Amino acid sequence: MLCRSTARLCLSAGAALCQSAARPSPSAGLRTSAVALAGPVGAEPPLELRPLNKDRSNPVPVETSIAYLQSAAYRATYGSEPVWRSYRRNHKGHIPPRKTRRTCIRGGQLSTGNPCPACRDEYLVLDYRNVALLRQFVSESTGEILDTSRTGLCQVKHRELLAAMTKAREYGTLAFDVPFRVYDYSEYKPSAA
Amino acid sequence: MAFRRLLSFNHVGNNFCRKYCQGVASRDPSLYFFSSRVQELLFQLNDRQHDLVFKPRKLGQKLEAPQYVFMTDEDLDKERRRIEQRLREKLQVPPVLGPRKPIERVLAKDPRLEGLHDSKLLCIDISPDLSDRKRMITAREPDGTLRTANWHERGRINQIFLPVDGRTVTMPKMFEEPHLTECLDREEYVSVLDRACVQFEPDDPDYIRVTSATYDHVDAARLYERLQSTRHFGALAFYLAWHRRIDNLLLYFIQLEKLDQAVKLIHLYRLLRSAEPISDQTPPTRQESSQSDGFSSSSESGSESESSSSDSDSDSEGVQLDIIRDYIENASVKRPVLELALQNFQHLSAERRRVEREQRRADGRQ
Repeated sequence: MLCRSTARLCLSAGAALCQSAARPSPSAGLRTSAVALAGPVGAEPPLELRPLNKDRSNPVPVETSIAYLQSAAYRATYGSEPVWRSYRRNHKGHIPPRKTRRTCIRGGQLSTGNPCPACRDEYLVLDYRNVALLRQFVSESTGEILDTSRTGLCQVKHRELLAAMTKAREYGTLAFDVPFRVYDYSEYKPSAA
Repeated sequence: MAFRRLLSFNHVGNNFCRKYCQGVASRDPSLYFFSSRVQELLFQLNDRQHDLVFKPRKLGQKLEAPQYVFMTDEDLDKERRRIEQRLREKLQVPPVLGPRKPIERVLAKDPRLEGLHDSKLLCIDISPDLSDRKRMITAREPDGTLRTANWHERGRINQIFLPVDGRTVTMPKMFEEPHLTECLDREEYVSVLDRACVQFEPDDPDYIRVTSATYDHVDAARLYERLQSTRHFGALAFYLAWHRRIDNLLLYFIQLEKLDQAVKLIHLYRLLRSAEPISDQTPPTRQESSQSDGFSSSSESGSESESSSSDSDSDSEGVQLDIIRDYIENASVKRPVLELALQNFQHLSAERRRVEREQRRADGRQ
């Protein structure tokens, strides 16, 4: 699980899209406050750590998001797990409220202390073409779209996700199963001459 | 004299009919598809791997834990027969029909009703025991004409009042260009075909367009194994045999050393080329029965133990090779490639038999 301070630093590295040096992934259990770890001589430049950006008034284009999901910065931040796995909601008591908050973004800025997985990283754009991201919100075993109780998305982002899923099925970017159709051949056989 | 003249007239007539009917566009595939011989061939051409055929579909249902049951031998046989029956159901090939003809016809003209409504009204008979293809659907135009609904209107109104699970009222954009080509380039063939089966009727021109584009793409990319052990492999084989383009699939079977499948494909090709539609009443010709002997003996030799003599194998293999060679020489387009593949196969199988013989001799000495 990412701790709060490193979460902000790591996630802002999304803007860098640089090649990674020998940087430990968050799930490795190592924590460091070093700004950058230098790799071997002649390697690609290391990942940058930038301060947290709360501005959400300029939406990121979906092509940038698709490229981000293949980048070293994404791999360093999330590893191979879904983006919602490391998120934990803050609430009073043992049982969480049935619905997540309505939205994390007000007036074009992040307005909460613990934004949901889709709002905290501005490079995660829920779009029907961003299949690598959409697939993380579909259950492996039943093909259902995961509920906010598992993903922790705010309601606005969850609705955006549902809209993106509907469009993905419409345009065929995301493959999904349909019921098996049984044909009654007697309806289609040509009438005997 | 008169009798001889009559014979020559018949001969000319038959030739004329055959040439006219050989045009692919004018023939109706549904006259051939439903024959039990064609259906059996389409079933046999499939790999029928149980793991793939019975792969569960992810439809958002609650998952159940598997059950472990103790069975007697009789129960086990009964269960095996049930599984064979279910296999046939799962591999039911979607019907192949020609494109449907328009069915609009005017029932009444009432010019006095003009101006009563500003849009068309559709009326449907929603009795549950009617077939969707036969139920009565009519349209009242704003100018007062009462007519039967066309196919597009029928599809929409049927889906609104009697919805089919998985189908949308309007055609998904995935079946339009360029999205269809993008799906096929991502090699999502089974997903496209399954959705087309649910969305369209088999005689819808859009269904024929989508399935033809998919089969053409599979044939061009030679990715036949994607459709193996699905219901669509039979439809693919029928499509290729109907349009006389079985060479790539034949090459695929020869390279995988599946000679019995290759022979069945050639048999299907010959059945679909015949000018008269096949009816189940006509007995199989002598050539077909010799071919079927070829398959049955090859399947028997396949199930025998390894101690069987190589002679019976090579005999049935010889029959199969003759049939394939005959097709390659007379009807194939890619003759050199197929001949080379057949030569490679013969060389490989001769090598294998020689190695087996030497192994047996060595074991005998020991």
